[in-house]
Amino acid sequence: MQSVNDQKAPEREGATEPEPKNATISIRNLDFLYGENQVLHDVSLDIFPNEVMAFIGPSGCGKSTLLRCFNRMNDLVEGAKIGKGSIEIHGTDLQDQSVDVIELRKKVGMVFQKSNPFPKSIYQNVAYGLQIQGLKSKKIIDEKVEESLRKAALWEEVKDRLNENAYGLSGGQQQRLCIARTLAVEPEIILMDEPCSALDPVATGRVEELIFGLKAEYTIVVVTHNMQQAGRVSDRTAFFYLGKLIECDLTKKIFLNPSKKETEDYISGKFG
Amino acid sequence: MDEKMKSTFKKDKLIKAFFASNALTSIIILGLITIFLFKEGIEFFGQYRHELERYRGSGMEYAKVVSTQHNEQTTLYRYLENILSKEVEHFESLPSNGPNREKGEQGRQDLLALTRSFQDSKELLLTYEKDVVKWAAETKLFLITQNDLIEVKSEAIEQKLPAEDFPETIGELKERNSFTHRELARWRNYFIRHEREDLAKRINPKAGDEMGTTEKGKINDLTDRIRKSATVEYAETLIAQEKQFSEIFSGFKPNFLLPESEKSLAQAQEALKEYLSKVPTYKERLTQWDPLTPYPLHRALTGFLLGKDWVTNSARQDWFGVLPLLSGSLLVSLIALALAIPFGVGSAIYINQIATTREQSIIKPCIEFISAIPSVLIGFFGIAVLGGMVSFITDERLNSLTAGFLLALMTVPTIFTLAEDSLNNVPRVLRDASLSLGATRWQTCAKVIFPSAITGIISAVLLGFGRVIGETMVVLLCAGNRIAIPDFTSGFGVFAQPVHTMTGIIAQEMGEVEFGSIHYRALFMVGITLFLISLLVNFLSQTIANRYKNSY
Repeated sequence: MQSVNDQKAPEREGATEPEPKNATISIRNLDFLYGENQVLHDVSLDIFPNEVMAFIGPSGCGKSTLLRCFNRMNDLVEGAKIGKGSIEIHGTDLQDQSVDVIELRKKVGMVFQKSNPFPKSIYQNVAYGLQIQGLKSKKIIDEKVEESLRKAALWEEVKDRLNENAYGLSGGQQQRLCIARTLAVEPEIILMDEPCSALDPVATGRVEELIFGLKAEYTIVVVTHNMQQAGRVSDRTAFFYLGKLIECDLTKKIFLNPSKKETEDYISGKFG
Repeated sequence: MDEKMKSTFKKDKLIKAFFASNALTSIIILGLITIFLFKEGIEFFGQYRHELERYRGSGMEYAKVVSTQHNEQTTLYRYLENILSKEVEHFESLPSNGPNREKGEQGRQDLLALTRSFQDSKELLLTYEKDVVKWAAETKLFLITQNDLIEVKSEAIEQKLPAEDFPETIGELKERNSFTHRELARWRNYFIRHEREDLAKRINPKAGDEMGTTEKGKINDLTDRIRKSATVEYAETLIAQEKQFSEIFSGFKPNFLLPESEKSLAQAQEALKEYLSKVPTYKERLTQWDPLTPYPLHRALTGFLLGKDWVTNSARQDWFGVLPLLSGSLLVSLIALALAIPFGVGSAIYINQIATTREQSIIKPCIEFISAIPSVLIGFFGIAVLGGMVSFITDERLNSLTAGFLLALMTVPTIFTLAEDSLNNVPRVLRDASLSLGATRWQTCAKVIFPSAITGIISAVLLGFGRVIGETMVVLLCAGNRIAIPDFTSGFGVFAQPVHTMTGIIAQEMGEVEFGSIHYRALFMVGITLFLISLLVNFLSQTIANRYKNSY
């Protein structure tokens, strides 16, 4: 998958709507079901290169489900299936028979709600993704581990104890380690499922800074409960409610001047 | 309102007391079992030391050396016998008027003569051995009788029974060199009269006859006799034998029908040479033997822990070495675990990682049901069905392999359930993380899930081991119950040997032993050994399981 990004990513301040044809991920009329239970209704959305897209909405609105469609993690859930519609990444339909899920997941990395490092050393955690690809050269792995940890702003803190167990790190460090682990595989898109929900404000701040910095190289989709966070890190925000995409627009506009009443109610704290 | 609250409070206390007492009772009972076990078992060492001292003091130890030497000669004799039987077999198969017939007849006669004269020569040592055993047995009987008498007398003194027919003091009893039938009968009747049947039972008047010390002199003379015979009768026997051996072989002109007999004969002569080189060691051991050398207590301990023989109710000497039983138990457990680990862990991985919900709902209860089958039924199945199947690959129906198979079956549920639990306890997010990095299901399983669950799986295996080593009924029925250390030099053949186990021996012999006897205590010691092994295994598995809990 070659990036088709010719156009500059939208500026956070005063950005304009980008052209749909350049979308990295494009979702068209998507229905999604868990068994009989439909959780997404007719969702259409484009996500563009090098932007940070935030998904907000109350619990159970389907935002995490949609996120997990992008790397087909929903395959693991029994009875989960797409009812109609499609998701394309660079024009390739993810549900297509020819799509190699393993390759897809290398391109579409994921950071989870609760930090989940493997019960291995810090080094092993980052090297894992490379080793399972069959990479043997210690030198290359060493370089990539360092590079990823630097990108995740963790290198300075852990460089002297790479061989210690990852569980010895603080919660915020663990989450950044998980981000480093994802970066090591060199994805193009990073999905983050409420990455800061288990962190204290200081650690949250560091992760948010990190997300903002990573935007230059990656396309990032963040699911969050925290609207201030969406406001701080994202370029555009999509608001979901009861499985429907209510509104998707530049973050500033969503927060200052939403065009739908539900959005306004949610933002102003009337429900959720 | 206050009244109501008070009664609720009271009820609360009662309920609390009920549950607390349940827990407390279990713990107290556990403590009592432990104390009882150790109390009964620990006296074994004193008794065993006593027994071994008697073994030495009576001359049985000496007889044992002679007996070992004689056994070596018997082995040599077997060589010759083998050659003879092969030759004869071949001879019989020849046509009755064939050309080799006459030559064969001559050869056979010669060989027969050789074998016979060797046996005759061997007989010299056997005769000597028999004499020594007779003297030693007499002395041993005396020592046992004396010991018993001293014990019952001290009991009588403690109970303040009147002296009457039993005026002898303990000091006097210790000084005695023999007891007659009449004396023993009188003392026995004395205890019966005082309604102490339990003590009377310990005096056996017949022992007085069997000792026969009146015609042969004093007991001390007998041990002296043995000691002196080492330089007289024994030395003479050896000289005579050595001379005869060399004469037998030098006078023999081999005239074999079978070419391999030549080789066998050479082998036999080689073995004879080796034996002769060992003779001086025997000589030295016997001449230096002293019945009065004390037996240190730690020898009783090592005699139990490292003893290679478990011999009970023997005419000469009982041995209580735990090694044959321990090695049997361990061998059977090893076989069982070697089979149960792949099956148990394998099915756990299948259920946890691959199986559909429907498959899970069928397989899991099935495997878990195995543990509900009474072990006696499994043993029954082993004798009736599995034994026959095993006999296709081994000589015997019931051996460590049969028992190992069945124990594996019994322990699969334990390992399966615990291993499955520990796989299940690996957080889902770890699996998700691995998959989201582009790992395949197998990579995830092998590199993340299995290593994360490994401590749990190890503790599952250890608990399985604890279950196997403590299992009684199946091994008693199916392990073959031959008390001997398995021959580990025979390669894979070791798995086909019948063994006896620690649990099996307790179940088998505990019903028949005399309360408080050394055999009874020895069984308790075996029980303690088993208890300690189980304790260790449990402790290890809990330590490991705890570490595993802390790792998330």
